[in-house]
Amino acid sequence: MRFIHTADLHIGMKPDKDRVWGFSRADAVRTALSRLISRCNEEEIDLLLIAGDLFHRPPTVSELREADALFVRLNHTKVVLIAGNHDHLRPGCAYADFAFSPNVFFIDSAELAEVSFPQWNLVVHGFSYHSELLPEARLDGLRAPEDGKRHILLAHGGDASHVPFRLNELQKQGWDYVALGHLHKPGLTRDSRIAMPGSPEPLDHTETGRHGYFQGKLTTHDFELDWRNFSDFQYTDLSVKITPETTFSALEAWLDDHLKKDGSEAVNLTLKGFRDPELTFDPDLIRRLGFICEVRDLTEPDYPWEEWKTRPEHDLLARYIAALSDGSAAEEAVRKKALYYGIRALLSSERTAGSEVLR
Amino acid sequence: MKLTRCYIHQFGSLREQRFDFEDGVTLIKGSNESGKSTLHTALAVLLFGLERGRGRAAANDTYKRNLPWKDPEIYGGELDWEREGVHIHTERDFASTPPASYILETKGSSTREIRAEEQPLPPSLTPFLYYNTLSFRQPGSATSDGLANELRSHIVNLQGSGNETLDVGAALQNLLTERKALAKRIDPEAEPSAREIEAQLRQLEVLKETAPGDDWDQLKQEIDTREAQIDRLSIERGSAVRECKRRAAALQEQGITDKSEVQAHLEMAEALEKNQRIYEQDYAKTRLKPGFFSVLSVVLMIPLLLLFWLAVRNLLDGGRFWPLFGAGLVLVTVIEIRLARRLDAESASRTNKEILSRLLGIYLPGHTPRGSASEAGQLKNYLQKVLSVFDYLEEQEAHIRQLTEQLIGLSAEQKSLGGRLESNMTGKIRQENLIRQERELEDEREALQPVLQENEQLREEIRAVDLAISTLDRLSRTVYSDFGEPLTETASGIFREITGGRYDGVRVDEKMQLFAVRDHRLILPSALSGGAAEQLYMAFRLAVIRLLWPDEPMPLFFDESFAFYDRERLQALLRWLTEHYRGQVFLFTCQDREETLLREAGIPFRKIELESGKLALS
Repeated sequence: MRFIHTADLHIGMKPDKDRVWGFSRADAVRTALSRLISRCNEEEIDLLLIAGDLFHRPPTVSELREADALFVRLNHTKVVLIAGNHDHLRPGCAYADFAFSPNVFFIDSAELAEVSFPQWNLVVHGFSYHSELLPEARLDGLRAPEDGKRHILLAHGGDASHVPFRLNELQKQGWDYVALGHLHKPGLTRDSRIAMPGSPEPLDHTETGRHGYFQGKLTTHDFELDWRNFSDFQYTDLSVKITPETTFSALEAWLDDHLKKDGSEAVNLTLKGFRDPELTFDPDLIRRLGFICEVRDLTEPDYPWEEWKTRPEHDLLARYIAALSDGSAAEEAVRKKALYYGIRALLSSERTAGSEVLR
Repeated sequence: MKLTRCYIHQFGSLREQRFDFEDGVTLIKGSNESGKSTLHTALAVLLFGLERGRGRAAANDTYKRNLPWKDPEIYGGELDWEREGVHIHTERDFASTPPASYILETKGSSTREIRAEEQPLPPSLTPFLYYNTLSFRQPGSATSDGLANELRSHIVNLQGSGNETLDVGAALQNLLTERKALAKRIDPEAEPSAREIEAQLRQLEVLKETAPGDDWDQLKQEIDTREAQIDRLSIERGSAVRECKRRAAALQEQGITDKSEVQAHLEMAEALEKNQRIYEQDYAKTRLKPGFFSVLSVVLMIPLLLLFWLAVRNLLDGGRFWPLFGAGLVLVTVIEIRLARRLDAESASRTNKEILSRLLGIYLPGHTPRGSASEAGQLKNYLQKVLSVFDYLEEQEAHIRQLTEQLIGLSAEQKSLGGRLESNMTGKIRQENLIRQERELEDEREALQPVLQENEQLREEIRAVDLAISTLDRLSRTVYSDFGEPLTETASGIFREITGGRYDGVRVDEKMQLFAVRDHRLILPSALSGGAAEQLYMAFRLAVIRLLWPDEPMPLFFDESFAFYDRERLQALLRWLTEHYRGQVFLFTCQDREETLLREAGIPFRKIELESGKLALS
C-alpha cells in the first residue's frame, strides 16, 4: 500500500497579499491540491492522507465541490480526510449536506472513528475538529488495536490550544503510522513512524525552508517513508553585515548580487553591525529592492563611544548616555531608541549652533 | 587668553593696518564708518574663521558685508594671540575658495604649523559663546530677553571640558519636530476600523449561533415518515370508502335502507319461524283439510246438544242413564274444544303465511313462498346478514371518520414541518451569507494588520522620542541648577556694585528669566529703566564669563555698548572692570565720554584712533 501524507493546504489563503509576488503565491496555494493529485496519479498512490486544514476556513459548498471535483480525477487513490481547526465543522456548515465522491472518506466525527480498507488489511483512525480551539489532550491514552491489521492514526494538532500531545506518549501507542497535521514546518521522529509534513506550500514569510509532503509504503512486513519536495518557492532568512562605510547604494548592490530574481525565493532580511550614524536604512525602500518580506534593522549607529567615555562626568552627552543606559529590561528597546534619538538631536544641534554664528 | 597683534590685509573698509594690543584697557576710538565694528568683527573671524555662505541667505552675511570693494582678491589678515605660554600666529585668506588658513603654534623655541581645529582655544570658547558673552555689541542685541534662554543650553555644558556647544533648546526642538513627523505618519483610522471590524465579527458570531440549521436532517426524516404515513392512511381510507359504497349500493338496490325496519322484520321472521314450526309439528302432519274440521265441529254440535238434553232428562228422571250421557257429553265437549283450537291455529298459520310471503317477496323474491318455517328460517338468516352489513357499514364509517381525522392532523403537522424546513433552508442560506460576510471582514482585518503594526512601531518610536525629550529636559535642568546658584550669586554681586548698591541682587528662575531684586521684590527687566536693564544684563553676562572661565583672563569687547549708561553708571562699570577684571578690555567708541571718564577715574588705558583708514597711536 503506497501512500502520501499531507496536511495544511489552507486552500483559500493568500500569502503576501500586499506584495508583488502575492498573486503567484495565492495561485500556488490554490493549485496545490490539483498538483498533488496529479502526483498521486503519476506515482500510483493507493491512499492519500490529509491531516486537517485542507481549507483555510470552514469551506463553502462551492469550495467543497471544487475539491471533490479534483478528488474525482484520482485514478485509483482513496482519500482519507479530517477537518482541522481552520476548516472545522460547525452546526449547519457546508459539510453537513455534502457528499464526497465514493473514493473520499471524510471522518467528520468529533470522536475517534475509523475507516477500514480490507484490501490492504488497514484501518485509518481519526477525528475532526468541531470548533476552532480544542485544548484537550485527545490523543493521550489511545491504543492501536492488536488485531493483526495495520493501523494509521490521522490527527491534527500539536500546540497548547489544539490537541496537545507528547511524542513519546504517541510512540507507545503502537500505531503503524501517525499522520499529523497543524504545524507548518515538517517534522519526523527518528523511526519515521510519526510525521508532521507541514504545508506543501509555504504560507507565511516565517515558514522558511523546503516545503513538501511525506510519501511512504506500508505493508504487513514493510514500512518506508520518504520526504518529497513539492513547492518550488521558499522563504529564506538572509542577514547582511553593515559597516559605517556601507551606503544605501552599497546595500542595494549587495542585495542585487545575493537575491534570486526568478521568483523562487523571498527573503527575510536582517541588517547587523554598525552603521554610519547619519544614515538610516528605510525598510520600505529596502523592501522594494527585490523579493524581500521583512526587514529587521538591528544595526547600531557607529558613534565614538570610546571617545565619549573619556568625557567629564558632568558633560551633558555623557550624562545623557548614562541616564539612558540603566533601566528596566522591558523598556530596553525603547530606551535604546531614545538614546539614539537624543544623541542625534544633540549632535545636530551642535552643528546648527556653530554654523549660525559663523554666517 | 590675550590678543597681542592684529594685521589686516584687507577687510571691509580696513586695509593694510596693524594693531598691537596690551593688557588692560584699550580704547579704540573713531568716528562713524571709520571701521570700529569692522575691526571688532575682523578679530572674531580671524580667530574662528569665516565661511562663505551660499544662496539667498548669504546675500548679506558677514562674508559679503566685509568683502572689500577694491581688490577683492585681497581679503583677510593676521592675528597673534597667547595662551598659557603658547603663541599662536594665524593668517587667514578669505578670498580663496574655500577660505584658507595658515596657523603657527610656538611653544618656547619650537614652532609648528597646526590645523584650525587644533588651536588651543580656552575650553568652551566657541563662536556662539564668544558672541554671546565676550563680545558686547550695540545695546538692544545685548538686552534681548532671548539671550538668557539661548545661554541656558550652553551653560548646561559650561562645566564640561568639551569643545562642543550642545544646544539643548535646539536638540529639544529637533526632537519635537521628529515627534511631529512620526505622529503624522500614524494612521488614525486604523485602530477604530479594527475595533469596528472586531465588533462586527462578534455580532456575526452571535447571529451564526442563533441561525437555525442544526435539525435539518431530523426534520427531513420526520417529514418523510409522515409523508409515508399519510400515503398509507389515504390508501386505507380510499379502499374502505369504496367498499362501503359498494355494499351500501347493493342494499339500496334491494330497497333496503332502514336498519330499524330490517331489525323489526328480523324479529317478525324469528316469530314466524317459531310459530310455523310449532304449527307444522302440531298440525301439519294430518292430511285433512281445515274445512273438514269446521264441518266436523258443526256436525258434532248436534250430538252434543242431544246428549245434553238426554242428560238433563235423565237427571230429572232419576238418573239411571246419567253416567252414559255424562260421559258422552264430556267426550263431545273435549272434541269440540280441540276442534276449536285447531281451527284457531289454522287461521293463525294462514295469517303467518301471508306475512311471510310478503316479507319473502321483499327480501327474497323470485320464488313462490309456501310459508313454511324453513322459509322463515331462510328469511331470518338473510335478514341477519343484512343487519351485519349494516353493522359493518357503521363500523367502517366510524373507521373512515377516524382515518380522515388522522389525515387532517398529519397534513397540518406536515405543513408546519414544511414551514420549519423552509425557514431552515433560508436559515442555511443565511448561514452561508453570514460566513461570507465573516470572511470579508476577516480579509479586511488581515489587510489592516500591516497598518496596525506600523502604527504600533511608530508609537514605540514616539515613546522613545518622548523618553529622549524628558531625559534631556530633566538633565539640562539638573545641570543648570548645579550652575544656577553660583551664577545668581556672582551676578548679584556684580549688579550690586555697578549699580552702587541701588539693587540687592539678581535672581534667575528655572526658565532662565532674569529679575532684579530690590527690597525683596523681583523686578522684570522690562519694568526697569533702560540703563538699569542694561546693567542687569551686563552683570549677568559678566557673571557667566566668570563662571565659564574662572581661572583665565579673557578679552572683553564693548562695541558702543554704553548708549543707555549715564555717566555715573558707566564710571561704576569701568571702575568695577579695572578692579575686578583681569582680562583685556577693548572699548570701541565714537565718543569722548569713555576717554574722559577713564582719565577722571585715573584708569590707565591705551588708545587706538581709527581715522579714515589711518592708524594713530597715543
